[in-house]
Amino acid sequence: MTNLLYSFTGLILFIFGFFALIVCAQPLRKILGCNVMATGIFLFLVATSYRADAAAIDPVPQAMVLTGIVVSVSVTAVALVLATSIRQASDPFIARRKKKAKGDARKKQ
Amino acid sequence: MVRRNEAKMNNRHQTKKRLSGLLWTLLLLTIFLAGLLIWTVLNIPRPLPSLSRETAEYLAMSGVNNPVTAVLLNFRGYDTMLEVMVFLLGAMTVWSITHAPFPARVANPSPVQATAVRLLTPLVCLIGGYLIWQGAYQTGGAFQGGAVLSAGVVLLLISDFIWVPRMHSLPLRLGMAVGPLLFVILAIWGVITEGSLLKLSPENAWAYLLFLEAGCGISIGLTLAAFFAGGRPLGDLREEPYKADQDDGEEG
Amino acid sequence: MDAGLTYIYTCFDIVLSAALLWLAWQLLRSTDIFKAIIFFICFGLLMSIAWVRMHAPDVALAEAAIGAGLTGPLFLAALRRMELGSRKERRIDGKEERSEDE
Repeated sequence: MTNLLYSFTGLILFIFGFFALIVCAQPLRKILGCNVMATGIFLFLVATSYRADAAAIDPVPQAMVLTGIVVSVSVTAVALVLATSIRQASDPFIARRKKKAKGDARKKQ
Repeated sequence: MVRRNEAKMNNRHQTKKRLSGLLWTLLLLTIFLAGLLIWTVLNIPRPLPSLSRETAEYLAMSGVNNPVTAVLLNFRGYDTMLEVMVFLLGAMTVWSITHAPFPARVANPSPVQATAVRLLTPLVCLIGGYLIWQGAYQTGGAFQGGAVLSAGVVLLLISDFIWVPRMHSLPLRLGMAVGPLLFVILAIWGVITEGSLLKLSPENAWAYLLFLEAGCGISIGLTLAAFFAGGRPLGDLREEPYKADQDDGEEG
Repeated sequence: MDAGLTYIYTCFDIVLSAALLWLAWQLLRSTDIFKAIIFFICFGLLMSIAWVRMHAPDVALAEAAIGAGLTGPLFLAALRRMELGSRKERRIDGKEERSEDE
């Protein structure tokens, strides 16, 4: 019963993240949706292998989920740096502020 | 001119008042996908195969007492080696995009923050090291201890010590490379002594895994902090290799 | 005694799953990005408790430290670097709310 409940929770988290990934327009929200998707899959993986007695845990899915958490944080970091660079390269406010800052620095020299 | 751009952004956002037809279609497709997945989950054949018995059987040969660490570093060590290299590759990708945007001067210097960081950093090193060492016989390991170490380095990066992002980057790069390097050395050592990649002899496995966990913990901590920094180090890797006429961050 | 304990565990599981689903819904459909990131950090911490319930303490430690404790500040740093600092720019519809305190 417990693992069925958590399996469904993981599944619905995956669906939420998937929906946010394809619907939301802001890049930060898409990346948040990716993370929620990944967390849902990890929960599903470990919940499916859950046994009631604590002595007979299956360590292989837990090791896979550990690897998965680390890889998902790595993918999130790369995606965030990409999104930040795109935003900084295409936003007129930021470009104007930076040009002003560079002009002030040149005038100070 | 600034007001005109802001008004255009406001108008673009205000047209999204009710759910359009496309959104309803996507919602229905997602609900259909959810139903499909739920039906699949309900039809998983039970009882599920489990590897707990085999792991408990071979645990004595792996050199550690924690089954998760044994699986992670010894039985499925190849996956962990590739994962640590993917980690390093992610850091290289982040470094190749931009250099770390850290401000040139302190905005509001605060003695409370400086004292707190000075008191917390040795504690973080102690707890991180203990978690790394504890992974052999209890809950813990390289990832958990490395994450705590990375939290300490992030604390140093966001505090008022502006010399931290401007340190020379050679210790950082060496620390980030230690984990994958140790894995590769261990893999080649396994080929030399036992004849197979990453094969650790059962009587010496505890020593190999101790060094491996320590190296991986340090490299995971530094790589996670490099992810937070978000770019190349400012100390000596400031210049871009190609001639570029762009700006150089928030300096100035 | 055992039946009572199982009943308490089941109630705890239901409340935890409901909280996880509600947090995920709120973080994806709230209008303010900053609120969404804070919800994400809370989501990571509750997920850490769920890992403990799954008899996976290693994953719980890793999720609390990496999933909530590092990915949250990653998002907050990206929010700051995109210069989405002002409250008006963070919202989907770009409206400034004058009734809330800053």
